[in-house]
Amino acid sequence: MFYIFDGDDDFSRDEALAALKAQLGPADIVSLNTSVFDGASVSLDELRHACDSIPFFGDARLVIVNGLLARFHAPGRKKAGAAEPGEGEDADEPASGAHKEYRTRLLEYLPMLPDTTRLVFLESVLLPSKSPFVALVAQHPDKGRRQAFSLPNPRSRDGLGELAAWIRTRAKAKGARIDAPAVDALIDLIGNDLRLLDSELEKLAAYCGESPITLADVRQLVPLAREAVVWDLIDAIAQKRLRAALDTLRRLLNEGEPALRIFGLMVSEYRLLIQARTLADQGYTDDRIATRLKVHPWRLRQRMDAARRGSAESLKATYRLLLQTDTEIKTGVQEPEAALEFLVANLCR
Amino acid sequence: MKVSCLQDNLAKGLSIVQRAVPSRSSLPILGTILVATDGPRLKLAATNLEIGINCWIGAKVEDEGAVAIPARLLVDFVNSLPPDRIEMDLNVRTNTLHLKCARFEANMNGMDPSDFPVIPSPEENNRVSMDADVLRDVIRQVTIAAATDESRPVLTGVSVTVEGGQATFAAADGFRLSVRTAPLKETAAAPMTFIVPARALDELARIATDQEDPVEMCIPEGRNQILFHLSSVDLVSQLIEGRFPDYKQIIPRTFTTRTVMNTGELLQAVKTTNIYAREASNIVKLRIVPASDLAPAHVELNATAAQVGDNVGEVDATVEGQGLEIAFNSRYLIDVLSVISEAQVALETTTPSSPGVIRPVGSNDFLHVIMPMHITQ
Repeated sequence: MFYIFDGDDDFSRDEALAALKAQLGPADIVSLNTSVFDGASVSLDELRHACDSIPFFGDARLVIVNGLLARFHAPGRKKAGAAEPGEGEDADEPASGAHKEYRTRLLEYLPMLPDTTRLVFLESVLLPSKSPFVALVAQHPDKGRRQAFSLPNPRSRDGLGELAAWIRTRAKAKGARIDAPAVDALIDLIGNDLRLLDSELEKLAAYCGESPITLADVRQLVPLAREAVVWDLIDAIAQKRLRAALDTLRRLLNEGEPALRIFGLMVSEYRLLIQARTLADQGYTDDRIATRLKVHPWRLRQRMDAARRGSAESLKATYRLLLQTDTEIKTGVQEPEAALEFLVANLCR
Repeated sequence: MKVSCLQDNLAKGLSIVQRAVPSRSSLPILGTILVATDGPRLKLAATNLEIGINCWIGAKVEDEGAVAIPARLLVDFVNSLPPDRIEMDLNVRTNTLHLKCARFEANMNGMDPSDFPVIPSPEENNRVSMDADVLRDVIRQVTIAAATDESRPVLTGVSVTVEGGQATFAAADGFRLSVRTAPLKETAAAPMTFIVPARALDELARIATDQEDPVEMCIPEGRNQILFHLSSVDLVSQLIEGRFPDYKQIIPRTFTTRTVMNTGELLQAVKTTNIYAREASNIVKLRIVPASDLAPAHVELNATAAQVGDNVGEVDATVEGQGLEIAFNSRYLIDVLSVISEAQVALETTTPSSPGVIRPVGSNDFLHVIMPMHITQ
């Protein structure tokens, strides 16, 4: 039996492989019967030798090959109207002579794989739908299986829904519940890095126990949530709430956030506000702005209020003040922490 | 330090320790060989932090001292010197070693010897010893089956179990298993089980080529290391952590066919067949034919390579049980037959898809299990 696990979602791919291993028996016997090859260098003879050997006192031999099948397709232009997301290779494009022979012999060999062998091809890109290996799976459903693992795209409506559902399912599997703002915040902070999302959910589930995971929990426990706190600071500045702004700044500094990092995040937030405001003035809708600036729609919605609050010119004046502060910090005129406090006070006037 | 020794001795000592010098290292001190006086002898030491080797050579020591000298410079220079007396004089302030041999002189800029990692000395606890020639044989027979694939660290090692008056060595790479038992010089005080990197054992076998006295093995308490003590060399290796598969459970206890062949004849036949087998995933098919009215018992070996052709060979055999056709990796057969010194070997088989067991006839110390290959029709 051969398996094709392809796509850019390496987290789910690894989980599928772990599940397959678990089916094959005790870990030490599976380990004895596992061969791992690098697709960039493995020869067909090496591969056949591993596959044709009878299992070493187990029921099955597991042969894992990383990145072999993608080798057979020369990197090509992204096809217009590709059938699958991430499909970037042209199956019809001729491979080199040696590759072609390798591919032909491998295609002939796969249907003859011994029943005791599980050959797994791990591919970090989606195979083209016209790949002969995909076609081979269709021809021999009893001999081969393909599982495509694509990362949900958080910038598309479908991808967003898929990612939110993934987070909720994952949290449930860990015995936790999570509310919608917390899901949005996780997507905003982490995006579609499923491995990181899983580990943060693990931590949040352990912390919250029976209670649902809320936005406050995410902000407290997820390190990247510092960016969200910096946004609170910007929001308070935009509303000219000096005390709230200074409190937030001091909280960040007291929690050990370096002043220069806070300053860098402020610069990046203001840059986003100026870009969003410029596009809005040109008649772009919020959704189009989010797509153009490659930010989560939820994150953009938060910022559009602030972006629209003043004039475009006042945002640019703020940016010039940031430049002046940057210069003063870097030339030693002001200490970073003091410079930040003066900056916040100036911006809240 | 002021010391003199013979070029031959120094070159030999350096050839022993230089194998532990890493080819590349982020720590400059590991690229050096420690040269130090140790009583009336000169100690040479090198380590890559996985294995460390100390070697002592005879010398005339006038002043004590130590320095770490870049390995390649020292080895290349000493190897190029004539077989004469070498005088070494160390400038302690600058760590510069001055060498003089016949009409050649050199200054070598060294490093502070106190930066050199400490290679431990043998301890009295957990110590056993074994005849050097037996240990060399054991290593030769077992390390062939150790994995070279670093993705499964435990399988790159040799499992050693010391119990009573004997030690059992085993290695497996997922395709074959080698198990060898050997007597100890004395009964072990307590049973011990550990995994030694096969690379370290191969190095030990190389170093122990001329060793006549027994080799001592010592497991220092709580250090996860093993120390092999030879007459003038100590080799220290890190042990591999993890659980070695329970190989005793996987050694077949029964068989239906036992085929006895001449070891040399079979090895030669496999080597001949391998010329074709190497073009076809190293698959060699053995057809075991019991004696009949028409022909005596024999084993037919053949290999077919689609693009090259095919060949067939035959060796005489004594066959007990039914005839059978079974395929093995020719390289594995060559590996094991090359390390069996007994005149005859027995191949124990059951079905074409059951493991084959190879044992030297007349010895119960060694067995080798090879998994067969599927025969594609």
